[in-house]
This record gives sequence, C-alpha cells and structure tokens, in this order.
Amino acid sequence: MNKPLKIAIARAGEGKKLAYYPGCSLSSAGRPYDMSLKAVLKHLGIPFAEMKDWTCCGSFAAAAQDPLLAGVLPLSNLRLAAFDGCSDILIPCPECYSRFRKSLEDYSENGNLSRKMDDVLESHSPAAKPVHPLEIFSGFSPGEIKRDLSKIKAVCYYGCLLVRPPEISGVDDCENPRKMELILRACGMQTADWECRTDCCGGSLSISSPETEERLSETIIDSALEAGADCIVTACQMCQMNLEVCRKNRKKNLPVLYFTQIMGLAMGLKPSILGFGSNLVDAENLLKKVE
Amino acid sequence: MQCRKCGAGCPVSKESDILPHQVVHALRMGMKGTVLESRMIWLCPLCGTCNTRCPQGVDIMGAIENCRNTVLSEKINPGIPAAAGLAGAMLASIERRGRVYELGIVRAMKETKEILREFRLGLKMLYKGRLRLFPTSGDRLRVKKILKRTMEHTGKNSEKEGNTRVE
Repeated sequence: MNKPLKIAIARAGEGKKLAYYPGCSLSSAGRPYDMSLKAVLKHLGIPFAEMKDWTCCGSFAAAAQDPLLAGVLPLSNLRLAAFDGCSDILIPCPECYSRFRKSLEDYSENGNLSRKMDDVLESHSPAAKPVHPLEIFSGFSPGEIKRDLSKIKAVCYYGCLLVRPPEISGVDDCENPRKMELILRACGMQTADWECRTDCCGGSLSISSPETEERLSETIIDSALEAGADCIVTACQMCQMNLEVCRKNRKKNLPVLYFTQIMGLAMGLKPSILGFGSNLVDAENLLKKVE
Repeated sequence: MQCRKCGAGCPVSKESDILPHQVVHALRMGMKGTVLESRMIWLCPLCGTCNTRCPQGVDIMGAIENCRNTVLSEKINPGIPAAAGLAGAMLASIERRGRVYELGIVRAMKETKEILREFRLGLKMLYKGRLRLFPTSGDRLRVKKILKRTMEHTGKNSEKEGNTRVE
C-alpha cells in the first residue's frame, strides 16, 4: 500500500475523521466523480463523513465581487469541519480545492485580511486541512487487479486548477504532472503522452463565452484522438463535463472518465456504482473490452 | 521591456482584446480604463498559466480579479456582460440557498431559444442525474450572516485596482 493512503487510513484510525466536501458540482454535474470516489473510499476502508451543512466555496463569483468574501466563504466550511472533529477535509473539486487553499494562504500571509476574516466569522477557531483525492491516492496500487485494463489506452487530462499556481494548488508538477498516469499504470491501463495535459478547457466560459470554450475543448479532443486514446481520464468535473458535451465530442464520442472510475474497475467494483450510468458519452464499448 | 511569457501561454489570447502582459503594462502606465473596460478581464478563465510562468512572479491573476472587483463596485460596463452576469447569478444563488443551483443559473443566463436548442441535452443530463431538477440548500443562516458582515466591512473600502507585485 502506498504511503499517502496508509497515512489517510492511519489518521482515520486515530479518530481524526476525514470530512467530505462535495461542493455544488459533485452531486449534479460531477455525479460520476462523487459516486466513484465514495465507492473507492468505502472499498479501501477509509472512513469519511460527508458534511451536511456545507455551503458554496464562492468559486470565481465571490472573488469577482470581493476578496474578503472569497476568503471567508471557504474558511467558514474549514472551521465547521474542524469543529465537527475532522482534521482533514477531502475536496474533490479542483476549483473548490484551489479556493480553500487560497483562503488559507491569504489568511496566513495577510494580517489585515485575516483580522477581517475572523471578524466576519466571529471566531478564531482552527481550520481543517484541505486534501485532494489525488493526494491521498498518490502512488496507489490496487494489489490484486480484478479486471484486465491493458487493452485500453488512456490520456490523462489534468487541466489548470489542480496544478496551478504551484504554491496554491500544486497537487502535482505544474508543467509535467504524473500522478494520474502512475495510478492508471498501476491499475494495468496503458497511458499515452499527449500535448494537452495541462491545457485549459475553458471552465465556466462554457456559459459566458461558449465559442472560446468550444475552441479550447475541440483542441483537447483532437489531440487526444491523435494520441490514439480510447478515453480521456480526468480529476475535474468541470473539465469532464466540458469535454463530454462539446460539439466536437458529440461527433467523436470519446469517453471522458474519472481516475476514480478506473481505480474502481481495477478493484473489481461494478460499473453501475462507479457512476458509469451517469456518463453522457457512453463507455459501453470500453467496458466490454475489460469484462 | 517585457518577456511576454504570460501572453504566449494565455489560452484565450485568440479571442482576447488585450493580452496579460498588456494588462500589466497598461496598469503600470496608469491606463486603468483600457483594462477595466476590456473583455480580457472577463474572458480570463483564471487558468494560472501566466502567474506560474512569470519569471518575475507578477500576480497577473490577482490583478485581473482586482479589476473585476473595481468594475463591479464602481458599476463600470463589463467588457463581457454575460461573464459578470454569471458571477452575479451564482452569488444570488449562494445568497438564497447557500449553494449554486445550476438549473437556476441556466434559466437566468440563457434566453429561451438557447435553452430550447439544447433541450435534448438538458433532458439527457436530467435523466442521467447530471443536473438537479430541484435545488438543495446548505446552511443559509450562516451564509446570510457572512454576506451581511462582509458587506459591513467592504462597504466603504478603498479601491484596489491592478496590484502588480514584482518580487
């Protein structure tokens, strides 16, 4: 078992609970991510407690309005998790994760801002530590592989927020991340190198500036197909959604999956509990190759 | 003299009116209007490429977010109204429910004919559970309190435009 996973389970055993913060997207747009992540955590025996009263991190909207608001919205959730006895908080959404990390960074670096944040929240209590799934599963190896994934070639798409800026999100190297490739290879899947591993998919531009987002997504899909990919594997629900529904992919039908879905397949979990039924681009042909 | 690594790596450079290095240059020259009225500050997806690659550690993303703050607080016409509108719609949802309700945003942002064009996709997403028909709510009381107290602080805050930190 890899070290980060051992640490996660050990801390859980010490009574230091792992809080789970889904964020606004995971229960809807990111449903396959939410389902597969929870299924994998349960299978590996990592206890977690989904926060009931979580509130939005604010995303780029709060930051556009007011930096103080952008700081307090995430911090209030971190303090709530700590108050409930959780030392760490698992945040699958890279946007949320990035905002949580930035909030803590601003709090520790800017004394003026931190005083205002404490005043708004009327507290000075400790905050839980944000953790991303790729951090816990870094170096993961499934032990016994229950499904042969060797006939599938995947390209790993990291996008922006997981790796940039390195001092805030830095889950992996910002120009040449490898964590997802290593996990997939440990699961027996082939991975191919390709150009667009850390290129931007456009994010929320799908709503505010769709033509730009279409161009960015099209470039990514084209590049993946050029690399001979059977699927794109990602760790961000915004990216996953954009790549699934872009005009190019409605013609090409390249499955866009989550790395947690692949982990689950390798460990023999049923595709239905890994959220494959919620994928918009059908992965049936892919699944037939591995059964 | 600018190295322009930021502009070279910017994913939206094709559609943008000004590039990241031009944002920095304009702000340093005191040409606030050029930046505040630009489409660039709203087209920027905050991908972080510019900040990560700048050899001088200039916080271009931070400058762009500060410009957005100024545009909204001083009620300047945003270069891309839809982007400012999206931020507004999300904040309204957060105020109301403590969370972002996507279907509500779509209704607020898109015209009926646009929604109807994507009707089939919308239905598929609903059927597959990728879109919630009804919203869920978080701790609304906590969020209302946060919003109120934040407004009290920021009410008469001095403007913070275009911070360029050269490290």
